[in-house]
Amino acid sequence: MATTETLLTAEEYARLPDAGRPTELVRGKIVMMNRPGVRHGWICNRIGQLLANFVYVHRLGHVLNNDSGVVTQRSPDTVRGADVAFYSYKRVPKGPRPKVYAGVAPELVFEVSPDDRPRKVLEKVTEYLHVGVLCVCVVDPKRRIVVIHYPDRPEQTLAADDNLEFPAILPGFSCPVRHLFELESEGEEP
Amino acid sequence: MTTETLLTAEDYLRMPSQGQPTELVRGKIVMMNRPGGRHGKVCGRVCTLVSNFVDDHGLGHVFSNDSGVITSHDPDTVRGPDVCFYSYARMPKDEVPISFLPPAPELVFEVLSPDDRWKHVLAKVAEYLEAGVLCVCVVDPQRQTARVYSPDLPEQAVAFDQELVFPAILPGFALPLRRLFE
Repeated sequence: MATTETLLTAEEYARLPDAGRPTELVRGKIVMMNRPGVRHGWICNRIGQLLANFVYVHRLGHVLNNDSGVVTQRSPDTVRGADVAFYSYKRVPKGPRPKVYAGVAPELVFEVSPDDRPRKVLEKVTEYLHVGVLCVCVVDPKRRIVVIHYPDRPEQTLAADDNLEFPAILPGFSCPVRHLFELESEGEEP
Repeated sequence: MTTETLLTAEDYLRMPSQGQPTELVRGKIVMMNRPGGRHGKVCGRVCTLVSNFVDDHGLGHVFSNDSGVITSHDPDTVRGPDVCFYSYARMPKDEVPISFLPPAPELVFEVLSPDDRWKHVLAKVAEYLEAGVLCVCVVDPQRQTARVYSPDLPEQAVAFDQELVFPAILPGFALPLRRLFE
């Protein structure tokens, strides 16, 4: 027999009072998430820093940290929190930034994968690719690799000494993968 | 709030044929193109070579021809993997259902068609892993390569001159990838 259910929209979700812990909206339903640990936050911020240093010098767009919401599906709605996202000025013009969710997808998303649930990340990755993200980087701190997913070709795996580059999105940007896990000067995890 | 009516796997099973291949994706019917000749040939090779090994060692069931596998409930999704394998531990010898297959096979093979968008392929992979599949092998006849996805390991690329192995699922099985394209 057919089932009927009532689901939240992204806009309704945005207006809800704070749940007191991280959540996402997944096809109309609120999903609670664990609060990530120290390493996760360090790496997310580090990625944001490396991107922002480049993006703001070259005046290319916006860099977002802290799980800012991205609407990845409609009817029913899904709102994911990207660890780090980049929107060019083409997608989100200069000027007052949207207070709620942007009407478009970012060009670039980074997700730092928890050690124990890599498959959860893959589900998010595919949602991002379907909604117009050009490149989703899954950062694996345990293995010190980055897997780059694209909408139209198989993923590419970068090792610690490879360079992270996005010629179509951030021309000129280049950063050794190991710098996501350590400061340039230190050579080890701080 | 939005309200919508979604089909269950049972509703979908009872529907008349749509005249073209379909899948049920979260309660909604999605039409698919009928795949071409090369796709069917490679699917046949996968099925034969995996079945030979599974039968010789009495390990379980191999399904072909997009047999429906329920990958999620509420809302329901029914996918048609090109080839899949259930060990007797997951599906006892005499318990092959007439209707859709329950979640989840240990091993799924998807053979790419030229018009497959990679993001759609990846979405299916994610769904199978989420449903409890231990290994999804995506075979690319165009590039003559394969990629192997497991829940807890990084993706693994298999080149034309390498072997497909699934030690945790089919111990001892080693299939030179090139044999899929002969």
